[in-house]
Amino acid sequence: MNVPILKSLFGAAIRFALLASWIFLLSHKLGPVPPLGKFFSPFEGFWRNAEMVSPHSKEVRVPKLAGNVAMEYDQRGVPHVFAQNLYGMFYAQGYATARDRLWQMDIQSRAGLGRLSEIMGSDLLRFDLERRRMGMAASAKTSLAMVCRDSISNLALDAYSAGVNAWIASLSPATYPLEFKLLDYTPEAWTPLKSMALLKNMQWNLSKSSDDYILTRTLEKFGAEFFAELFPLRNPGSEPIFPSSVFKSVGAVLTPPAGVGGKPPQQLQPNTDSIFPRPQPGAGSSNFVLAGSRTASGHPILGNDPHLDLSLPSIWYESQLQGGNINAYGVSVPGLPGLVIGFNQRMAWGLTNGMDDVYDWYKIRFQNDSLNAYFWNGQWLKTRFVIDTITARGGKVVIDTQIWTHLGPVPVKNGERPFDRNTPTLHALRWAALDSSDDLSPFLHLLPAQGYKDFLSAIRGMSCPAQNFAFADSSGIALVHQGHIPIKSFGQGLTLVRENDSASEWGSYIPDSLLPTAYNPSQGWLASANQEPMDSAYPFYLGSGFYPSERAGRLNRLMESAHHATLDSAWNVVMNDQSLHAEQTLPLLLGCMDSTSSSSETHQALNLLQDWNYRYQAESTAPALFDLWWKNFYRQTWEDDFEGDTLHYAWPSRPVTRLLLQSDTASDWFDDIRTPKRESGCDLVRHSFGEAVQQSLKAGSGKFATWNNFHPLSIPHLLRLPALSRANLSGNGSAECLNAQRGSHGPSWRMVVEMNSTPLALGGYPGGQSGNPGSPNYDAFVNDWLAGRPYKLLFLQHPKEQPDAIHYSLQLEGTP
Amino acid sequence: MISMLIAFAASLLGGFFLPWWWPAVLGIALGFWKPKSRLRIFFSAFIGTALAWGGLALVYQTGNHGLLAGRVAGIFGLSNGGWLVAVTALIGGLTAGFGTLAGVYCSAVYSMFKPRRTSAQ
Repeated sequence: MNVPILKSLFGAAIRFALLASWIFLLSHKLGPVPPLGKFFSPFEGFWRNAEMVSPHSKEVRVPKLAGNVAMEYDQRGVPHVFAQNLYGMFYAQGYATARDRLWQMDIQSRAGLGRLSEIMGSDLLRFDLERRRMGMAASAKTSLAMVCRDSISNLALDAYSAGVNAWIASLSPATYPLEFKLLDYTPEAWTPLKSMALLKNMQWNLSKSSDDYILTRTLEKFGAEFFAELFPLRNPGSEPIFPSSVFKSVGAVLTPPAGVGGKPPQQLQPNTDSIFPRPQPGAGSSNFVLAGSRTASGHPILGNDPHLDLSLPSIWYESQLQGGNINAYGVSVPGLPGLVIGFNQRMAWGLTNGMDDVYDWYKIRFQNDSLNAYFWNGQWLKTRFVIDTITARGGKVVIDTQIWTHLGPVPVKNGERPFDRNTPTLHALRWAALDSSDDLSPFLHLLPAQGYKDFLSAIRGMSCPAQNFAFADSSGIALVHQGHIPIKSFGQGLTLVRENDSASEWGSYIPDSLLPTAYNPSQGWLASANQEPMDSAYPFYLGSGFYPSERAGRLNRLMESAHHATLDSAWNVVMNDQSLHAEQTLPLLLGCMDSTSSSSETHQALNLLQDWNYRYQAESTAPALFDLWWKNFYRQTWEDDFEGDTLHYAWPSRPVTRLLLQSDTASDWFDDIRTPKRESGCDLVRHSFGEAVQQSLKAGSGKFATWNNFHPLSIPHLLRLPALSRANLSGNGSAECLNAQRGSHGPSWRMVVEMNSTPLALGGYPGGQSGNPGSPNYDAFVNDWLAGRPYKLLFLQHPKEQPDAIHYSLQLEGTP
Repeated sequence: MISMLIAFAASLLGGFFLPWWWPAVLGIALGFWKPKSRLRIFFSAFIGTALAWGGLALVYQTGNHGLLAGRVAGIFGLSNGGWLVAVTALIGGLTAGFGTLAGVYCSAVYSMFKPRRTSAQ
């Protein structure tokens, strides 16, 4: 061969190599960058997720379905499912939910099972390891076996999975949801186990919060006397959910097990390396029911707004389900069949988190470093080891040995970095969420329930976490604190448990018949806002993590004053932004101020506060001043005693601090121990006021800043991508108001229902029905939600009842 | 002009059922077919494919009122969804253009072997 041919061959080889590299590079994910060729191709990439024309009615042939199901989509994108039987109904629920929210379902079920690193790489290995070590994945599996014993649950899970899979089968890489393309992976077939993983995810979010470790450190540093004074088991001034008349008689029936919980804790190894921020307290859920005697129409009204971490896509998916003996409307968790909160023809239900302590840590005394055996009840018990394998994207494999005791898992071994600052080393976790339980069944059995009796039997399946279930039908109202709550001695499990004997273990659960329950009380209303369920006459200890009664107190006042309540006035209850905390605290603060204030600015600020109506409105200046003032005062009161360390120590609560100022302004706690001078509470109030005025003026560039300067709201995308999130939102409310919005936490769903012959309902949530950022329905509800504009919920008896309200329809045609 | 039209039509039609890198194959074929002016065939393929990709992207962009493109642009730190139409056109065009470079060299190798085969007959 001659030289020119060689040259040409060489040239061709180089060009082909370059071309191949170009194609290779643009076909693969590089770090966080999606495969650019695939991603930008207008034939299969992100462009295909741009919704161009509004959907139109059509018929779709689907597998594994007998008969047809009609899905009528209303103007807001809410599907109204009309099926001939339960199977078809749950099938269609799965199909509709996947059609709008497939990626969210996939990523959240992966999170529940500890499988994120499979698609997001080794950065997520620790996340996965924690979920697995904490027993979440194992519990999803054992719970599935339990759930499937209930024939309805079994049918619902099967039908739902088949519906989701029918939708997945209709997709091609070009039509995968955007995030699959961004992260470059393909949707996996849905299984009932994934639904259980979502249920576990919910339990994780609602019951994992624990102060046990941090309270233990606080107790050890400051001593028992101090601890008892500043960390009372009950919030001062608490207004329990249930009228005290509910449980006068049972006090003598059951006495807590003797001889537990009272021993002083032993020395604990401090962990200085946990640097995670403390979970912000201040959930804000509330629910209430008003009897007919208190409403204008004479029909009972139910209201509910569960407050959660907000996200896009939203945690809730709205739908109406009709099939078999069911016709119900409400919201579900994408990935779970049934409805969590909603109503049917005869009754409405809603829930708030119970907040009971069902999460305890036990210090385990292992025989030696092999961790083969541990000491319990005077003998050595064998540890159970479980080998677990995690394969991260990119090929990294972790083979992990899980440690299990009879109490539960030991998530952190010696020498390991704890997952967060509330997870102690070599402690076993006893957590009600890890029991095998059928927590799905309430949200299925509530759908066909016809009255109080059905309601009660439906919610009995609820185990973890306990919920305050509100109920209303045309003739009655009820509130039930339902869940598996272990019988404990007072204060048991408040701090880390150090005893190694069965006396320190959880006993049986409080029997259903003794759980706080109220039906048609003479006062004509019932309400809850995460506060203590019962007063101190209740014979059982439920925990000490209940929220202060500021929101509850406001709610109770609104209930007491309701005489001709309407749907609109009930809506205004959940939107209420008047703070009882401010109403109780501001007079105390003002009482410390002398009338001859120095500067005109301070004078002006005082006037603003004196005229304030305690409403947290975005454009008002007074709530900002008050909030700064209280926070400064709170910090100045405690920072010297706690050395400014909020990371390792629990600080006394807001009500405790307020009570201290109210009862004893000369208390030692107000003295700043770092100064020779002796400060009183009022000294701190005055000092913190000056600071607040300066802070407000600074934030407002010379004028007093409005509340929204200090109250930015946001709804982040699940991947925390700012471009797919809504940020810098402005709205009324604060953590201590019923409209308890703050940061990215807030009312995840608001609903009020009046139980007429056909229920009338208003609702709304911060998001949109579609999970697709390329759809106008992605965040369509956000602005109305911020402004508190409700939607009239369309509850249909027949598919063709209100043709004007229907945007388009899908007919699922079964091909079994 | 002809090759540009071919590039446009073929990358558009093929795109709907062939993998995203189909313009590269198209480019090789065009380069092989018209090896005389490398620059001209490069730009013909580039422009034809860029128009197809960018044009289709523009259809999605306008039909969707820029909603999705605006959000995706934010992910890439771009201020405006319009940039994504340009990036899309560029990626499609370059893929086809790089294809022509390889195709031209194929043609060169082929033509060097061809006369020898003819003489042997």
